[in-house]
Amino acid sequence: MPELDDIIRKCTESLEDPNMPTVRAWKEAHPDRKVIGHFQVYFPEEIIEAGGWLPVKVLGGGNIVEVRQADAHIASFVCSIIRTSLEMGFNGNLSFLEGLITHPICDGARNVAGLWGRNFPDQLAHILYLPQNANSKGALQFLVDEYRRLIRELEARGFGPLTSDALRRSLGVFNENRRLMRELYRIKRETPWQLPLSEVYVLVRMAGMMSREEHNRLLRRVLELVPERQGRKQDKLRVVFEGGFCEQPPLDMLRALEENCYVVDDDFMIGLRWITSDVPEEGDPLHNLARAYLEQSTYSPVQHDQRKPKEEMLLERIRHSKADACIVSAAKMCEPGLDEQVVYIKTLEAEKIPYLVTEFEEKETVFENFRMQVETFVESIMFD
Amino acid sequence: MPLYSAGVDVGSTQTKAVVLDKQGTIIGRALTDTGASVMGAAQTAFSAAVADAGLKESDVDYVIGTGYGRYKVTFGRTQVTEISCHARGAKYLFPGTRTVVDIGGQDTKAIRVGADGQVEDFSMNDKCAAGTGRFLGGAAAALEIPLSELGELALKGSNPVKISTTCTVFAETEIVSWLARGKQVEDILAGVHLAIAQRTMNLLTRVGIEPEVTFTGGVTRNRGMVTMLERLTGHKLNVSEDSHFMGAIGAGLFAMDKAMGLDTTPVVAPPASA
Amino acid sequence: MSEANTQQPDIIGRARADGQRIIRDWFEELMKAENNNEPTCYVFVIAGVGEILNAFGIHMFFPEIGALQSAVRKQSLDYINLAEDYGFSPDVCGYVKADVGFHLSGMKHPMGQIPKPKLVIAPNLCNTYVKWAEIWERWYNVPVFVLDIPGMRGTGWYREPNSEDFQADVRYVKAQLEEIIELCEKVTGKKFKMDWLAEAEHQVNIMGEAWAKTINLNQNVPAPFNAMADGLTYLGMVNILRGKVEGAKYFTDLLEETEEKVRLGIGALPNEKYRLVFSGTACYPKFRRFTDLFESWGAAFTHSDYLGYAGGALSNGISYDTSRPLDSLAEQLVYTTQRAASNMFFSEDQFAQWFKEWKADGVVYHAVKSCRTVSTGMADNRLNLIRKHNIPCLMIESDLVDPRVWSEAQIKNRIDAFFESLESRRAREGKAS
Repeated sequence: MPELDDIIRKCTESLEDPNMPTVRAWKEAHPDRKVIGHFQVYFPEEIIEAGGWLPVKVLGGGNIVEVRQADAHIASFVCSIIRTSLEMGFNGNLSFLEGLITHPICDGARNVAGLWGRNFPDQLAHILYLPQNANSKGALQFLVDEYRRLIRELEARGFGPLTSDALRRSLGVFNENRRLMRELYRIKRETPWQLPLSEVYVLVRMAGMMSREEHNRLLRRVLELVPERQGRKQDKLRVVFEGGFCEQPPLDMLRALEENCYVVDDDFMIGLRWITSDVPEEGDPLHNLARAYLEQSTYSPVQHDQRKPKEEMLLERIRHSKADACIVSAAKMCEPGLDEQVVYIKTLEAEKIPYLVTEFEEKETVFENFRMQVETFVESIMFD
Repeated sequence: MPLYSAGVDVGSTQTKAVVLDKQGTIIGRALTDTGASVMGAAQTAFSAAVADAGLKESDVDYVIGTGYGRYKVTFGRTQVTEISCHARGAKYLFPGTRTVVDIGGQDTKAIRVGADGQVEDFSMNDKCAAGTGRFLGGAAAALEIPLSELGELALKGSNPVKISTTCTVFAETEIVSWLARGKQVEDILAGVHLAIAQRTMNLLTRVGIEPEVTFTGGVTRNRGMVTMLERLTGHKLNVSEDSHFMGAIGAGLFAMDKAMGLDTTPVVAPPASA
Repeated sequence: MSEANTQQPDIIGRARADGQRIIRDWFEELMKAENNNEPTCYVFVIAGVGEILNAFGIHMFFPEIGALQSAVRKQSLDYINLAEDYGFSPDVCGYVKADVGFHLSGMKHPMGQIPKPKLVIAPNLCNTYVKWAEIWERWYNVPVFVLDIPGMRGTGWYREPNSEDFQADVRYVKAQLEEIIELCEKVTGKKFKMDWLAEAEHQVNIMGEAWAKTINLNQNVPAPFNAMADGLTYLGMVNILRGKVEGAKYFTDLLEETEEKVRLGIGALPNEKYRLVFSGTACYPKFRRFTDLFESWGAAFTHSDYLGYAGGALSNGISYDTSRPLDSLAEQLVYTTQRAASNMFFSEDQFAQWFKEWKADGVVYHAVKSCRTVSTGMADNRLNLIRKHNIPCLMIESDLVDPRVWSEAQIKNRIDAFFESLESRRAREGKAS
């Protein structure tokens, strides 16, 4: 098997193992350090890594984790990612965590810190409060203060002490990481036959479960190997997929999608790619990191920013990636995602951009209906 | 002067009636499909149970209705919810009962019962019928297998498929697509039973499982379901030939209290011979 | 009717009658606003900053109250259907959809014609407020101000007002309040005067104190008011009149009336048999039926968390320092937000305390599909209340405004079974004593 295929196979295996073998291996290699979980969407992982701990993205158990206990603790009309994340606390999948840090991205998620704290009292169950009024003159200072507060909270559990130099180094590592991820996205956009959606997705997602230096090594090697790939351009529709900012659809759904079209841009794991350009390493690093969250960032349905009307941002994404069409999706029971769908659809209609609206749930196992919808959609455009 | 009471449990799919004597012995039983006429089904079941007991309707001193159609038991004197009745019936047949799980046609309930038989807490499925008897009916229809054979077949499945949907309607679609993918019927059925058992576990977790656990309702006759639930709960389940009648038995016991002039709803001691 | 009722002094029933009149007047004022070229701000019942808006004389429209009124008047389903036809999912908040349908049908509310917003202030104690406000932002091209008030950061996370963490939150909130004031100046053309705010806060201090005392009077047996039905009227008043002289008067009158009821032994129910604490929101399309299902068992709602968070967290009173109005407003917003009761953080202990103080027999949780903010953690909270405090609890599920989610047979079944278990609990306790 070519090396690149082998790398992707291994990555796929480890992200389909809910016990997160990469994290467990890190913990074994660093027995004196700790692992901090953070829930979707954005989290300043730079801070955690600068202190020598490992940040791990907690994003549910997909269709692999069976919910046995969590449902008894959560109302029936709450999305799956919250259920399976809690379940992974109960069933031991996340036993390596020192704590879970969340942000009230939505009405369900604002309850997670309470659910976690009640059921896992030994862990730090904490909210990092990212400012939700990105346009206020007070937002930046508040975020800097909030980062400082988080550091104090962690220091009480043995974290740090954190130096500015360590944080600067961490910013550098993450800047490189985002550059490499942007490069993967460039390839997917320009020559998607070389690196399809599901593979880019798997590679990006690994960032949430290993140290960034290690992830950088992985991506560097992948980028060296990509040119060797013998891909051939096919006559496929170019689409943008919108709706993957929080709960993640199963890999098989992405595969069903890419069989029928090139997904040239998307918002999967957008939190890992939230900051869109390098964070300055000179100056006050904490301040720079906070500033980047507000000023050098992309968009999602869970942030209101007057400078970034989301429908405009979506159109920009479609134009920039030269997509022919858009797939507007949302997770079942996801209030912000489903609300946002409405304006996306109206805008795409007004702009005469073909679109397909669909809903998914991470725990689905059967995608025949989805595949058929996509096929029909593609046919309706290609044979128009 | 002999006293007789009756309980009539009008469920969404079937109506059950029992007649009890003063000692609490079940002396008559009847079962009928509820169908379109709830009132008619209640009357039919009651008449048949009285006949089964060898009595006349006028011999019965007190009748209590329970189940969804309890307010349609117009010949009854009062109504009690099936939650109280299943708890009462289960405690009566199995005095060690502390947890009751009832899987009915459109409802699944978990009930925690106190030491002296009172309902301490209960939890029921949400409006959607996934995880109830109806879910099995849907599977039977999709696979074209008689309902009574599902459980045995499910026990033969060694690699249960994952039924992910929470909706009964979509579950049928999912079953069909598993078939299309060449999965064994046994594995699909094992998956269906496991899905129901897991939904039931959620309800049980909400009230807390304490042994002994008594299983009631129509699905008790499905051996696959019993096994699956025993596996997930980690407890042996009490199941009786009369489990299907549990609601009606509870109602009959409450009715006997009333016939004997007891003002509250205390627990009747189990029959000495049982 | 009991004898006391035949000789009721005039003040009994005053709060209810006044409340109905004030709601009607409020809608009438709103109807005139657009013609008089007076600006209306859309705000929400949690952290509505009525102090500032009333100081400027800006009309306030509460879309939640509009939506629930449409449900009580059996109009919400039509609106919801319109919104779903427009593209909204069956699984999103019914309040949002009832409002969308209402806007799509020309803003003719059963209570009157509602003006378009000139300004929107969306606090984010419920994230859906922001998604909701974004709809008007697009439709009406109006400024949407997200008033971001950081809340609790974890279980048991309380910060005293002089702490560094607390002050960081206050700075952020104060900066936003200044921005809101600038916006209001732009919208009204008036120059803000700090005295206006001080006066509004003075009125809220009086209102809050009387409101908190009224709530506490419901610890009496029988409970003088129904925390659900009457409570809804009072909550409407808290929101509409916040910062106005009429608000202080309404609640001073209410306190007087409630004290009188207690003195005369007049209960909300003629024969109170059970007392319950309620968690969650009501089911407005079935509002009367919902209450009946409990009252038919002789059960009165004596307290609820809704009285707190849906009324701008005034249920424990408030004490603004009117000598430094803006700082004080920021501090109080941060303070009440951190302490607002919900099902998020260890609130089972709060409920256990209410259970005891309001002499309750049980706690009723009503999870509503439309409101994940209050409903997500309810089941967990309930489990802990039972395990830690052995308090009888009932959980029912329906919705705020969507009558399709209401399942009469299932809900009645649960309620009846709950009371059967309370009855047998009582019978046993009676026998034991």
